[in-house]
Amino acid sequence: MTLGVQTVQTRSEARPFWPRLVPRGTGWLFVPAVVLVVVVFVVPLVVVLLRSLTSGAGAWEQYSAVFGQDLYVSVLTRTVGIALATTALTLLLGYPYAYLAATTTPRARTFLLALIISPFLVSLLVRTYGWLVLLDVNGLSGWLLRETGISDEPPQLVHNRIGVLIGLVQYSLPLMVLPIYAAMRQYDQRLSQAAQTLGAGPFTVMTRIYFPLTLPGVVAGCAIVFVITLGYFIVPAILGGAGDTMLGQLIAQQVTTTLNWGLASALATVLLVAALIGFAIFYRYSEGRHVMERTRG
Amino acid sequence: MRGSLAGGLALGVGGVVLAACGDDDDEKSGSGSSGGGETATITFAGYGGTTQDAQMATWGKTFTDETGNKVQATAVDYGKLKGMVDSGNVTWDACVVEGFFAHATANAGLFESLDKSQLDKDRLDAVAGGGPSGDQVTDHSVACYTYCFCMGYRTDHEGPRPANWVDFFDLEKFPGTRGLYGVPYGMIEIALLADGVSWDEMYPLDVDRALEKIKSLGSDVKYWTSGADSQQMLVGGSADFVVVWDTRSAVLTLDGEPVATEFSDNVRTADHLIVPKGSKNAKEGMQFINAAIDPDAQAAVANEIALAPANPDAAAKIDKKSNDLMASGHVDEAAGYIDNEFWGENYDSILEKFNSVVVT
Repeated sequence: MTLGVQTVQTRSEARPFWPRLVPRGTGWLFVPAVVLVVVVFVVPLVVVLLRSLTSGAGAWEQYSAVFGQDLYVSVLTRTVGIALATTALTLLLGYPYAYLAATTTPRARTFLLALIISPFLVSLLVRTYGWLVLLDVNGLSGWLLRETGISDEPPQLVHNRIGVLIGLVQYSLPLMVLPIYAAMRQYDQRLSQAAQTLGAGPFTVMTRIYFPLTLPGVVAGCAIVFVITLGYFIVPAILGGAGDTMLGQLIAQQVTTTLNWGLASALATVLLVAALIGFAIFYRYSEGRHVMERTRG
Repeated sequence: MRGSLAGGLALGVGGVVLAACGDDDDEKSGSGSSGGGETATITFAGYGGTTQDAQMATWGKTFTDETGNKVQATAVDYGKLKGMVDSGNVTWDACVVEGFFAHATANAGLFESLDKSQLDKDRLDAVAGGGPSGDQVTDHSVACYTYCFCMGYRTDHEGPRPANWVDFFDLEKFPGTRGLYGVPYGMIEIALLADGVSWDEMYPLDVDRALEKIKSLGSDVKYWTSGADSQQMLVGGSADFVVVWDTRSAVLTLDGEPVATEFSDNVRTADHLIVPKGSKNAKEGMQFINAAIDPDAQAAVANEIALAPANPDAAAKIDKKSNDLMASGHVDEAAGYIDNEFWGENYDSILEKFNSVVVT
């Protein structure tokens, strides 16, 4: 127990974070990345922000259009809800999988990691239509349920929230597993042994030592999955019903159909703020855990 | 008839365009340009898939035969069109757009004006006569095929099936799941027809009344976002009765699926070809439009994939099997022709109202 806490402390003491990130002498290696980020992310972001403020009659016109209507507010709420649900489900499935991959034999590990990354080899669009074919009433799942006599009326698994969650969780799983796996690989197995010597049962070892120490990976995975899911529009468009429309779909509609880029920019900015808030909460939470562990020690 | 936003993305807008092969601003060489030494390769943006393949093989072939120029395909995306025109870096030379999009005055700045010197007058006049006056040919666009909204249904559905739009909205007499297009275009008209509005008094559309009617379907309705999606609804069984584009359900029947099509009171419209403003091959773009509306090219694409002609002169050259699948073979049963000018001016506000009802 004490050992685990000490590790946490050493980690936070290694904090002078910034200097470690910019090692002296090779700092220039940074430059291309920074230039790329500025050109590819910062500039477009500023353009979007400016467009959202300047395309209406007044600076806030687009925003009052966004918040003045039930449509956008309720779709935003729904979008955040779906992103949270996806994050939770992905974590539930991803943590045990990462644990298995981190603790098994090297050969099985390679296989498990290749398996989890393999969906990236197939285009998202193809995968999503694949789900549609598999999960539809007359699809493979419906056929199996009928043939095995489990159900004559197979449940509706697409064009609704279930379909959206299946599609999004499958898409997000690797993004959750990889950071957790990385954190687990850093875990020193001797800590578990030490805890057991001191009388801790497997449950205590897991909840008091293993999970807290792999938490940074969990937080990273959750933050990535949450933020990415927020902006998704292909999966809900194909696997969801009208009641599952996410904000990304409405933005796409404004960009590609009505060409109302001012409103689209305002919606995108609102989504960005939601993502940042989510990110801040995840970050804060992980920080909070560290502080708690420290004070307890 | 848009593909889907997703489909458009999938095709990925292979941005690599053989940037304007040579400067062919040789105005002096005049039209016809059969003897001109240099040939251009133009880029045609369409909805992808088998439809665009067939258009390349028919319209594109006619274009090459008539002018010696070549054409390559890319995926259309209105957002990209606007982006290109705004930035002055236009890489498309001809592009398919929906009728309402061609008619919207707000979009006029995205299109080159029609260059009548490159367009065959007989073909243009024939197309203009193929629909309501003023709809098929505008100052900057020409209709290139027609289509309609009709009803696809599963033949293995137990119980009676709806035979018209009134039935389609009658959940008590005709239980079953409905499928509708996920945007209001055409759906408003269908809902109003079902509510007893005659086509003569259709415009200006009473959107609120139509949305009330759509609301009455409750949760027994699914919305599709692309033609493939509407087909999957019928094949996959998640909807029993689906508003579809002509051809979409008809080809399922040909494939042996238990699906049939009801054309009564179908709602007609057309897609248009435009040349993006600032196209480096605007002249050749116009020539491409001219080739696309050639009666033989129109008949060829109709016979290949049942894409209904915009030029009525093609009708005699279309086989019966294709004709039965297409909007142009069921004009007698049509309720009417969509007022694209009305939609052009009101699309955005109708979409917002539609979303407020359907999406929330």
